[in-house]
Amino acid sequence: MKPEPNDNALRFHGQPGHVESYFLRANHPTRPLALWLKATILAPLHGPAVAESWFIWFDGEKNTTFAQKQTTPYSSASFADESIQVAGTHFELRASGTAKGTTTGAQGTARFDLSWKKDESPIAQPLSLFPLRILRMGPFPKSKLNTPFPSLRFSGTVELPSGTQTVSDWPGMQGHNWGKEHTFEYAWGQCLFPADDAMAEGFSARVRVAGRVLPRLSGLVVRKGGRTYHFDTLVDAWRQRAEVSSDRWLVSLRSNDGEATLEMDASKRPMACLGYDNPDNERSFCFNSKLARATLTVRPADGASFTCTSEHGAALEFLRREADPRFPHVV
Amino acid sequence: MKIAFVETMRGFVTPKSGPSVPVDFNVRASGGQGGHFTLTGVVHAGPWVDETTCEGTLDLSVLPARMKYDVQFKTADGRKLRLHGAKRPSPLSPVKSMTVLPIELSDERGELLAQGEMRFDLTELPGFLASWLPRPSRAHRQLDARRIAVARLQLNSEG
Repeated sequence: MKPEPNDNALRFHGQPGHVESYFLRANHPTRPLALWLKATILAPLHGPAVAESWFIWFDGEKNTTFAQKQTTPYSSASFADESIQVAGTHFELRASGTAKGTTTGAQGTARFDLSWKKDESPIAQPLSLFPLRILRMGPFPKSKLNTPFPSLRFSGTVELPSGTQTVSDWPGMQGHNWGKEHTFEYAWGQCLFPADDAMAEGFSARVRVAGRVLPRLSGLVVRKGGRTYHFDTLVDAWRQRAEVSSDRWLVSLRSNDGEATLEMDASKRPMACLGYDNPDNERSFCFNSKLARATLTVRPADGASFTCTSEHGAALEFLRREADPRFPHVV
Repeated sequence: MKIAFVETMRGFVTPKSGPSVPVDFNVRASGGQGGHFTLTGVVHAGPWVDETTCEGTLDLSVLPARMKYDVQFKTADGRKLRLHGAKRPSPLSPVKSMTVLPIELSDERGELLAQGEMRFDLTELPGFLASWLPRPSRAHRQLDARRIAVARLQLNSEG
């Protein structure tokens, strides 16, 4: 049996019809400030591949975002598993990694110089929301995701036109996803609860198979201390319920590990709209907030219930095929 | 012969005023002589109690066909509450009558606080059936661990 590649191993080998991204997220420990960085590959069905570098600064105190994207030919970028260079940005995606770069756009120039260390807690072990190898390696679903570093601690500086922000021990994470196209529609969320030594990551998604959009499937993994609670049977539609609205996502799931409810809400929080192009030239729209409120309640089958909350520490993204008139500017 | 099984019922009750709230209990029924079982487990009951241990009884009768549940527990401020109701098995509606439990929540004076309906989730049927086996199943082990953890938390919060 072919071994599974490393979590951050590049899945693009020049094939047409491929999207892949590596992303980083860090949140101020107490204030509503967050940073999101991403490097992507888009290989269309016809034509040369491009590489993209994304930068978003979320400021919940001013209710603003500073969002930029730079696109270059793939041939001028470098993706070598842990070491990525795209258009003036450079990521070293290791347990002790770095991200440095400059982005320039209509809002001005931003510079970042960050380093991070993997959290020592067991919650920081690599995570996949796909419980089976066939889901991680097989043709279904067409989009894959994993989280090589679910809990990191960031330090460094971020320079914005509005001033310089020192980053000191900010909690965050690094993710990696890839596939033949973007998922048809999803809500995805990840949140760290440092005070509880807990984290949660999950999704509710609708995928398209043979031109038909299937019913929504959800999955969730919760970690607290040394325990991992899996609610990731995925196809067990009888034991999952999800509500997805424009800014809010609620998912309740049951499994042999117990019951869990996760609510994430980015209402009245800074949100950016990103244009994610698919290899067939169709465009998806990602509504992206890194300052969502999160409430997680877990009733373990073999333990006492616990609830974790985060006022503005949750990453929450919605991918849809339709634009939203609230966001005239698509990054 | 002594019998034991683990059952979970979930549902909603509606207070005299206000919206419906979720309730559930996860209990072990043990005994069986004369159709009488004792219940021990964990209960959630909306705003009255977040999570606490419970005890109670389950009485089965053939004529009339009835499965009568009485689950008792204490709130954080020491009030004794009861979730009680009966399934009435019927050959005309075997699945519904065996899985739906009309329920009432009342206090120690018998005053009705809320009423509603709880259900047994048929996706949990394999685990429920396995819990009847003489060898302790996962459902029994998980309920034991859960009950101990909840009781320990209660003791800590009281002490």
